Amino acid sequence: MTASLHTQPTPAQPHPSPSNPPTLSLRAVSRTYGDGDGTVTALHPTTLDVRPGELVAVSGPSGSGKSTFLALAGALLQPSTGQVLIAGQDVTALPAAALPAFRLKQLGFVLQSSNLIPYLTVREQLTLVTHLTGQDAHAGRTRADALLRTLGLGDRAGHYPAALSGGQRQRVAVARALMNDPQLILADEPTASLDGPRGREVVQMLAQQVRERGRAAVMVTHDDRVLDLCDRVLHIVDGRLN
Amino acid sequence: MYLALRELRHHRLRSLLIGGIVTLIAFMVLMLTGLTRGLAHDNAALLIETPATHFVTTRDSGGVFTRSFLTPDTVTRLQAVAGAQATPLAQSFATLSHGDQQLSGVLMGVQPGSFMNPAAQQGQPLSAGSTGAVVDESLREDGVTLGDTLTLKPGGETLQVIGFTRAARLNHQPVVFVTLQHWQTLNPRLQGTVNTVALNAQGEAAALAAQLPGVTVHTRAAALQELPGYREEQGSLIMIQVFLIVVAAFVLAVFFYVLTLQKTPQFGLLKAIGASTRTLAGSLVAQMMVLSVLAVTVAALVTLGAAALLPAGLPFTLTAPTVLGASALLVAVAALSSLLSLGSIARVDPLIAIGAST
Ligand SMILES: Nc1ncnc2c1ncn2[C@@H]1O[C@H](COP(=O)(O)OP(=O)(O)OP(=O)(O)O)[C@@H](O)[C@H]1O
Ligand SMILES: [Mg+2]
Repeated sequence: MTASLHTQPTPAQPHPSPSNPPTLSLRAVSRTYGDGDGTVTALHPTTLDVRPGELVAVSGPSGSGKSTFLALAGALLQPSTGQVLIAGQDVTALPAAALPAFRLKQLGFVLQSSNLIPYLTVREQLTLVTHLTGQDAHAGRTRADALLRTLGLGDRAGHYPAALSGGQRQRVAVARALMNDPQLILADEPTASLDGPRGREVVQMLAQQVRERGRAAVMVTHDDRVLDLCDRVLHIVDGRLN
Repeated sequence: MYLALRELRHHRLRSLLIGGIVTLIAFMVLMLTGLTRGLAHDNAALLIETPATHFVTTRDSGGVFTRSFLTPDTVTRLQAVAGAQATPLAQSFATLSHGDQQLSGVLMGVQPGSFMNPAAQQGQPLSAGSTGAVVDESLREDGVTLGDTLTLKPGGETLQVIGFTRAARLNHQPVVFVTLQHWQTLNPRLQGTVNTVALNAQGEAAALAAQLPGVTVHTRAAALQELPGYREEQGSLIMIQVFLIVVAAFVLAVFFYVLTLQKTPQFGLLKAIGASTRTLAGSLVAQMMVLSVLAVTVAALVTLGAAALLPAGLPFTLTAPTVLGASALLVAVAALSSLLSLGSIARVDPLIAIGAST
């Protein structure tokens, strides 16, 4: 099995090691909405691999299918055709009831806004994840504090989201997405509500964590100023990805 | 619980307000329960606490004692069927003067040896041949004491108070017990008839008694309902309580439903992260339970405090089992009212977490 992976032809990528199996693999995945005359193809059949240590940006105009793409990659939406494999698991084959637990274990989400729970402190935003997985509360706290320190939020652990700046909130969201040490991180316009330098800071942090931890990440973004921080930039136009 | 308690704590004012509303409603329900029970006792403690299981009346009386006249012959036949488990009761309304005040009461004739002979809380119970009276303790509030003489109006016959008994009220009036024999000499116009025969018997004796011609056997509960005014009085109070409980359920259900709808994006996010519908639903039910248990507990304590401050004459009866029962009902209603919101939590699609805004 290892041998076949070594011989597998892969496009040359600067950062990720080609010997690793892809964390996210879309195989001829498409999605259409509606039926009969009103059918809209939000995503045409797409094949894509994202490997460990790789941060992939997806950009495109409004209505081009970015959210659809991210929802498919995040096991939030079933494709009309094709298969989605995350960390080797074909999520299209999983029963719907098993998906929340799967996301909890393998995926981390950084969303555009309303990203944090207003009544939880910064630390609790993170320990919520360990609470949901049923892990030891003390270990969760220790891990949360370590992550917050790494992301420069050590002194904000006891604050509520309302007391944070937009950039700090997005960093908390990145920290929360890392809390369960997921294989794949999905980010939906994480810089939309931030100014240039703040936005870059957040994406830099995400990129650094992805590389250090050998995880994969896909980020949907409109923000051209952060594209240079990504390993690969994919453009999507009218549901076609390239 | 992780989310439930933190949310309640963070939105302190909101939690206090809704908790306050539930407390007030629970307080009203409990106070009304006390009043309902108190009025029931004031009206008919005799029929509520009696050892009798059934009452026999003539068929044409519809179960109203004062309209029923059983002949000595019928009484004999009932006693032949049920033996000592059957005892006749005769009832008339009386005006009694005590010193210079006039009192109303129900004059009741009982057989001294029977199970209907009231136990004396103070003084002596009635015995065969006694010409005294055992009266309800509520007459103490009118200044009646042991050994006092009550004069029947307008005839002028006198009764000496030889004992006080408890739980002897009928038609919102104190009962004055005399021996059946004495009652009949005081009421010669009734020619030896009695109003009812009380049975202290399960099943068989009651069934046998019911076969006698011209009589009907009523259970104790049925006889209570036939008491003039009883059903109407209790019915309106119970209706108010049912309304209050429905209002409580409605307020809670709508409050949490609106909150749930407002929090749809938040639930979408939590589901995207990987929280199951069950976790989120559990959190909502937990909030509902915490709020309603706290609110009902406070209301119960306030009610018990308020009951101690009520004027003595106000009929108000609230026992611990009643408080617990009413509280449990309110909490159960609160739990049920969360059902409305559970559906909308289940319907939240985690997909809305992506691209939900702008
Ligand atoms: N639930 C749906 N039902 C029908 N059509 C849909 C649905 N969701 C998306 N679409 C359509 O699919 C296409 C792609 O939508 P999508 O939301 O993925 O675009 P997007 O790139 O995220 O746009 P934006 O940048 O505005 O968020 C659009 O034409 C949209 O109208
Ligand atoms: Mg979108």
